[in-house]
Amino acid sequence: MKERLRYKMLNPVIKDVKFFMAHTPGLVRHGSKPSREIKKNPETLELIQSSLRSLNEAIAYAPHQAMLGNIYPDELLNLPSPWYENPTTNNSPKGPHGEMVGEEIFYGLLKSVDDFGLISIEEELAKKSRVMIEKMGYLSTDALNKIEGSPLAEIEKQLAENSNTLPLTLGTGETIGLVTTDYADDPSLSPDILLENLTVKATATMALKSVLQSNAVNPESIDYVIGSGEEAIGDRYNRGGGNLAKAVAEAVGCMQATGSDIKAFCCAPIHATVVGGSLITSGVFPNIAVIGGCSLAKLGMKFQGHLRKDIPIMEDVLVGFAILMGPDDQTSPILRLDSVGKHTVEAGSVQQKIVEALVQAPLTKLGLKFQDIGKYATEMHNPEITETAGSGNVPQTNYRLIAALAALNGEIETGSKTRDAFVKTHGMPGFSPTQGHVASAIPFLAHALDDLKSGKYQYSMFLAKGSLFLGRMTHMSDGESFILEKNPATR
Amino acid sequence: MVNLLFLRKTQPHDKILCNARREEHKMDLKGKNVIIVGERDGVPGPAIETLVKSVGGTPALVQTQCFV
Repeated sequence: MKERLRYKMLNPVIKDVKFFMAHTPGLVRHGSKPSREIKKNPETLELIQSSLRSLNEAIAYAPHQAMLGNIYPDELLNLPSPWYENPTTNNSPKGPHGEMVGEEIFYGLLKSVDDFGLISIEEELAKKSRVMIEKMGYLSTDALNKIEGSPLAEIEKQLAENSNTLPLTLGTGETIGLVTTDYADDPSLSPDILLENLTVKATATMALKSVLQSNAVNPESIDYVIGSGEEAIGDRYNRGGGNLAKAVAEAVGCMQATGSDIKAFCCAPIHATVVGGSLITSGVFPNIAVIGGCSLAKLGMKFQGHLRKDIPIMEDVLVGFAILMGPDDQTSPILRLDSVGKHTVEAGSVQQKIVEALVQAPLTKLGLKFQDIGKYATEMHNPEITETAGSGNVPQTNYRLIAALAALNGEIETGSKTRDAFVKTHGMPGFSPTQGHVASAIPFLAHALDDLKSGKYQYSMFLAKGSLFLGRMTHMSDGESFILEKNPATR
Repeated sequence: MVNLLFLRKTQPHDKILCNARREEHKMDLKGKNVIIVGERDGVPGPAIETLVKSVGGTPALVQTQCFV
């Protein structure tokens, strides 16, 4: 009998995270809210198309520059607002934390991840897209060869004759392709659901390729990929069966990996990161990637509010991310598994109890005070998108709750001045597109890694919440949190 | 009669009670059916439900919304 393996407990570290953003004004019509409203009133489509942004406008939009790492989130407070009326002058579609592409490239990427012939795009667009994608240097020749076009006349004929198709258009309204299904009787494989899932696969694939390539990591060294998105992949017998993670692992060439998805609404990325860290520490899988694809359903979610105010529809960007994790490399920030905070069933719906469980408990476990955390990352939704539609400033709300708890604990004085000072120092303005799970704490991760590596502060906390009640199985919400620590070897 | 109690402002419970004590915010919910719309990042529906019950109201519908 073999001697039982003795694992050396390894601290997990987060090495890097990259975001892949796609400006897709033509897909806004397929967002959940716009598609429902267009069905009710077809004229809505024209109104939407007249309020969409160009790629250059989306790139110059200050919150997007914060996502890409070209500006620090706090700097948004010093920029003239509203940000949609004050584009940045020094901007780039690429940054240290990711990149943004336009819809012409994105349609080519959709085609490249489509293994079942579900997407058709027009010939000229396919050629143009392939050239631009090849220049990015991510895709293999095999993947590039999948970007084949079809004659526009054929696409238009199919759209006219086949009711199981959805048009793919540019932001201008020009039809350039379609998505269809290979099993029309299955509502779980309808064209809208397949489009949603393919956009998820494309954004997550590109984010994972990006994080591996920029860190010179061989895809074959990845042991396990964990999906953390909110898509539901499967057919009529297994809607939500999932494992996008393995599909993405295949697309990226992680040939020695397997994977699985973790489902927990918007806080799934935090759950997935903690699970990833645990797999590293236990020695089960040393090299982990946590991925999250985009949320097509949330494109144009607040479009009615934006139209009412005669401002651009700002939910026109899809975002995917990929986090690279591994055992302690003596450099990267450590995921303190002994700090994990959880929203227990017992905590119920009492906000104070929830914040205590997610914020105070992790601090207590590590013997830290509220102000020992350099920055808290919570729901990072861009308030310019939500406030203009009457949905409030979600990050600010969460930061104020943390400040209130700090005051209750006697660590800061009560009063709005000290509260606002705490929020300014330990929080930040929201800067993420409203992409559900993507926006929940993760957008700040790349900035936090920079800060912790440079020694700006020693600790950063990540907390996210999930709206379980939306699925009608419980009235509860969920949440999880962890603390990242500057690697002690670099002190 | 149905009263619509719509609490969207994020306030800890003690603050809500505090506001309720103010004359201008007072609502007599005793014996009334109340539709409750809470917010995940503010005051969730079940928390408001507890308060409504405590002052003699009858929750007719309890929902929590997520605005992102």
